[in-house]
Amino acid sequence: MLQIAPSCSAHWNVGGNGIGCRMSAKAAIRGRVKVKIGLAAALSSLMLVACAQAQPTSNSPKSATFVVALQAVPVNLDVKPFGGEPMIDVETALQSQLFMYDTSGLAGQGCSQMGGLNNVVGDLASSWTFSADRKTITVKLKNVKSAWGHDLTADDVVYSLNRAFALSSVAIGNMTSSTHYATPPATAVSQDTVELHVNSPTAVDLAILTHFTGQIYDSQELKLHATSADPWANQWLQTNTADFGPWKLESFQPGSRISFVPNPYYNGSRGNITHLIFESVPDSSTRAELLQTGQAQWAWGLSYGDFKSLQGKVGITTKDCVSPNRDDLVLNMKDPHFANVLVRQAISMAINRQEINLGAYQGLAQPSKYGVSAAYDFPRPSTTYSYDPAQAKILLAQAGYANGFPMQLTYSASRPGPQVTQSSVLVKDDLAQIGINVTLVNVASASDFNSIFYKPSFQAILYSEPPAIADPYYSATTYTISTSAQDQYGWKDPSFDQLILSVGSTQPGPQRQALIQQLAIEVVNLVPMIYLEDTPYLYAYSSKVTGFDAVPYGKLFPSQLTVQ
Amino acid sequence: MVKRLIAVPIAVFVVLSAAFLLVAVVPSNPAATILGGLASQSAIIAFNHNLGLDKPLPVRYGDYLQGLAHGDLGHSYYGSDAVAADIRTYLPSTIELVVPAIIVALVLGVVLGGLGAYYPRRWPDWLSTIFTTVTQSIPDWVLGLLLIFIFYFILRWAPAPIGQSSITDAQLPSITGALIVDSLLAGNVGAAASAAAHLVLPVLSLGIVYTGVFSKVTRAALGREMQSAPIEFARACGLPEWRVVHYAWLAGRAPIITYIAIMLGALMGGESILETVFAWNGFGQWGLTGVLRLDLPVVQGFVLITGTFTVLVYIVLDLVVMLLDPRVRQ
Repeated sequence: MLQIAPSCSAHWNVGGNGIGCRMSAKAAIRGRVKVKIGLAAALSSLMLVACAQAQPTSNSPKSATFVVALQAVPVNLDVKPFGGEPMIDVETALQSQLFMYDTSGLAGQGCSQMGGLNNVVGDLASSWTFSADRKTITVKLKNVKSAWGHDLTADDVVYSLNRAFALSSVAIGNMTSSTHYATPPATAVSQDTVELHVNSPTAVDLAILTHFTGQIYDSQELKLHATSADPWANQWLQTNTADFGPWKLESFQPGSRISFVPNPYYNGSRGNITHLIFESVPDSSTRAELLQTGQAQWAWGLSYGDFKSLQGKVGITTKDCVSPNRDDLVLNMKDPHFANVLVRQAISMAINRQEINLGAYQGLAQPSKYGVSAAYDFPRPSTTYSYDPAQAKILLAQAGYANGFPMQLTYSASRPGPQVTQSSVLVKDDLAQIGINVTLVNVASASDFNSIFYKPSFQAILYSEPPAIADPYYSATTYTISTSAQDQYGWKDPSFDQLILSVGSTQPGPQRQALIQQLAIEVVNLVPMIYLEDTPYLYAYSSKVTGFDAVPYGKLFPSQLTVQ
Repeated sequence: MVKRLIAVPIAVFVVLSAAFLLVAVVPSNPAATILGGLASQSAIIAFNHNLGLDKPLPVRYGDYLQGLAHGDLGHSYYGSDAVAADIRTYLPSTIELVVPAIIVALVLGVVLGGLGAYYPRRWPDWLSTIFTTVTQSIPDWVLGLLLIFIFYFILRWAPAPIGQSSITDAQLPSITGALIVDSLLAGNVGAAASAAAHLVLPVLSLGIVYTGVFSKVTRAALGREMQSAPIEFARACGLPEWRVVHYAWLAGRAPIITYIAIMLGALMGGESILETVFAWNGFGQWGLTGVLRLDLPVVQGFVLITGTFTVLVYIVLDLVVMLLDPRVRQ
């Protein structure tokens, strides 16, 4: 508080909008006050500079409504039952995790250069330290309040992580497969300090907690709504929110619309959005139209064709940003054809990835070149995917299939997306060149498709790899390690598994990068699955929106945005 | 008629059983989708056990019938609401869409078909035939996308196709579930007008496409009657032309009424893709989402309601036709 000399107070003029102090410069300001004014001005300037990206500019309206048109809005707001991608989109935007990514300093604010483990910063965590063996992470919490007015405490973290373990199979998978969090995963040390415990450390121990399953809840509020039959207040949280993020739930129409207003107790930096609405608009072209008419400020999940149609449009910003996502072809190795690595290599070599990119992805993807996504930072190996149908035929002959064989290829527009209807035809045509006669099987239902994948009751399937955490170790432990729930298609290689675990247990640095390079080589040679395209994140939003940084998992933080 | 009424409970029971069996024998399991891709096998097994999906089929069928007897249609795998509550939420929205659409289709179709029947093999007839052929060739959801593009995106005459209300419309208490009715009951004329505006394009999409059906039926029925001996006799007696047409209409209306019932039964749940295009959040979209996600209780509830509704509509149709046509009574 600025101390004013007594002689000034006599001249205060109380106006309708504030207080002005009329005084003579000579009489009112003493030396002590001059220093304090100077310090205050310097501090204010520093704060303004630090918050420049997020704070509204003088030209920005003080409040703005921000409408996000997305394919579906979740029908419930809790982790159980799991609501898929719509739930992840909304829950991540609530921004109530211990950690987050800061990509503001990267090329294109994370668009051209993907954030990595070194870009993990604290969100609700203000600081943290590792024990010598890295099995204990001591986290100091920020001084924040939930929308219900309760302070964030260590008990909230302990409660939330225990809750995740109890209710969410996704959380359990994340925190025990890719990472090795102990049971219980956290203990309170003091009011604002919590210890996280892992049985064995990995490089992604913090990054895993950027995922929405690591959401920190207001346990005080949840306990008010718990019952003996529902000790975790699952029923209540399906239609309410109780977190420490920048938003407070205003209204929820399951499957249709969710609206938020600012959390009045939030003390973090934020833009000028005062009304955040997630609107369900199932049709991609309609979402694109809403963006163009200004009815929506952000359109999620556009098809490649619709995204392409928006490029260059006045008033629309489009960005195709680097992502760890890849579309792939999975071969069921319980089938004797595909148990033979030569056959898998032949199929990989016969597919023209560039042609698929131009045809099915409108040229927006990158043909997969390495065994690990090119979005990651690692020394590029010379062992890469190649397109060589002649060599593919030779390999097939060496495997004993000189005349080819019939193959059934299953695909679904539900995953990875509508582009698969084109890429399936292109793959069929490519494999026909080497004698493999492909029959296409289209599965409309996402649930049916998942069932087919997990049984597995497919011979070959077009699939996708969208890792929740952008790290090659996480990808590998989710999709290609033999202990993964997703690896039901018969791929088993202990030395490959060991390589993956080595990548995981090694902290970021040159040694880890070398291991990732080795992993990339092995994936191309051993072909646990055939990566086809490295796919981008497609962002389309109003040109009036500023402050967007692309995070590695492709989600949106509306609190950081400003609408001009 | 008595025999028809006796058959109703039998028909409804068949529908109930079909609703269960058709879904229960589907080989896919929704567990992997519901639990997420990282779920372990033990979690999937536990999930199936908690929901009774590992019980023998006859046991599950018995549980299903027992639940139905108490009005319990189960709970969605993906949300907390009971299926019965979801039906009460979503069905009025679809009725609010389908009924006006059928009225539009009926009025337009009868006018076009009537013109064709009255002026056979002349330009009104050819025009009517062309319109009928074109509209019957277009799926309703394709027409919906076209109308959205023209009237919303290009002309900006129609509101955004984001459901039954605008983003800025206040959320009103749900009394009937039909937004226009609820708005009027709440005294909010603005909300009612907004809801009516949002109704225009989807109603036109359905109405125009099904105009062809009524047009064809009317053309056939009315055309036959207009050429019949009684009508020729009526004209010979010097009756006014409007009375002649009226007599033809009375004789030929039965098939038109029949098609109203058929359309009602078909559209109650059959316009799910159109509802998805307009983000209508109605009964059809709810059912379609349940089918795609293998949300078995939802699918069973959806089949049950659409099947039972169709049975009841046909019974009402029989009654109406019997009342209107003494020849049927005899």
